[in-house]
Amino acid sequence: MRKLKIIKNIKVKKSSKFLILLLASILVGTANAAIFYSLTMQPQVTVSTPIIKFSQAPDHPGGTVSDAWCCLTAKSYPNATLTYEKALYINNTDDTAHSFMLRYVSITPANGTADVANWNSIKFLVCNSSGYVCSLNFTVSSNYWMLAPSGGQTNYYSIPASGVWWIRLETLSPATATKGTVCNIQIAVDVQQ
Amino acid sequence: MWLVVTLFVLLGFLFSNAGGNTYFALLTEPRMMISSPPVVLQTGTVGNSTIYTNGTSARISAVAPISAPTDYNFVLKVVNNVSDHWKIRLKTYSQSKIERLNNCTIYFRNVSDGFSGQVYIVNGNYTLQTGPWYDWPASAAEIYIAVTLQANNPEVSYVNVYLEILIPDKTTYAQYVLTFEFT
Repeated sequence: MRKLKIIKNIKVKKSSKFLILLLASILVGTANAAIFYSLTMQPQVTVSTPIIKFSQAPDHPGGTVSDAWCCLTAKSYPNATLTYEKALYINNTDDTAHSFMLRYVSITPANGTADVANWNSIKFLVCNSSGYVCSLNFTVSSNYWMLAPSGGQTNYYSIPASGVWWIRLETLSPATATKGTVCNIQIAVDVQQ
Repeated sequence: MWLVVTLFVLLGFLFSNAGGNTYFALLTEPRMMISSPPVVLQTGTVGNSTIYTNGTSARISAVAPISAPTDYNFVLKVVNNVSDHWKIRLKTYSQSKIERLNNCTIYFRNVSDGFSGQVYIVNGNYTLQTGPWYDWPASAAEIYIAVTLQANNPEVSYVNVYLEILIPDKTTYAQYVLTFEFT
């Protein structure tokens, strides 16, 4: 009977220790969670004109041109090359130089569809007063667009302070092209601010 | 020692992260539609011309006599299908065996105001490869392309040119391929 009581006491002690340990753990955890402090950030976001922006050029083929977005509605003639020498201006309005590149985003008709064969080539050449700078070219092989550069983007090029460069657009369709067929392209101009 | 190394590594990450750039992207969405050409080519009444689909390219054949120059005053017709006025010119881009051509003059003319020389080959050499811009008169719906020829042997020469059609006061232009074959 006495032995049994001793054993019972021992169990109570172990339980107590475990309980104390548990409480201590919770206490520590709670204390850790409480050690915080707060910094305050107050960003002020102002709607501004981008430092490099689009503007309408002398050979604007049609469509809307705004500072950061433009839609150009150009033509393509069967079996003839059509060139818009200054289709779109790229203006650096800042007093320091900035770098930018052309990056392919999307094109329709999609690769592999028969409508792709309505074009031989669509070329976007970046030019300045010294001549050619770089280009993003779409040529057609069978029903597939071939993009050059193959990575879908040009290198970065630095446009000087207050510089005005332009995009020369060239289209060429085969003699068998179907009139009324439309090609939509999205190209991003990525600017390092 | 290890503490110092660890600190350098952590600082390295900190600085590389702190050295970021700000970017933004402008977006351009060109939309190209295949359209009817506003100016088309039609066959002439002398020489032998072939007009290809859509009337935007042609092949013109003519005999270059050895004895004396011959004038083919209407080898090709250029027709304006719209009310816009244009400037046009010829621009050579390749050739073969032109050394046999003693005289080759390719020119524009219309019914009323005559002559605009565009390409000259004299004694086998170009003296004019790109013609001056010719103002397409508002009154004329058609322009004629004509050729004066003389050769010194019976071979075949080719002169490949672009017919360039320019919108006045702009730098938007179309290029049609014309192949002249002089037998």
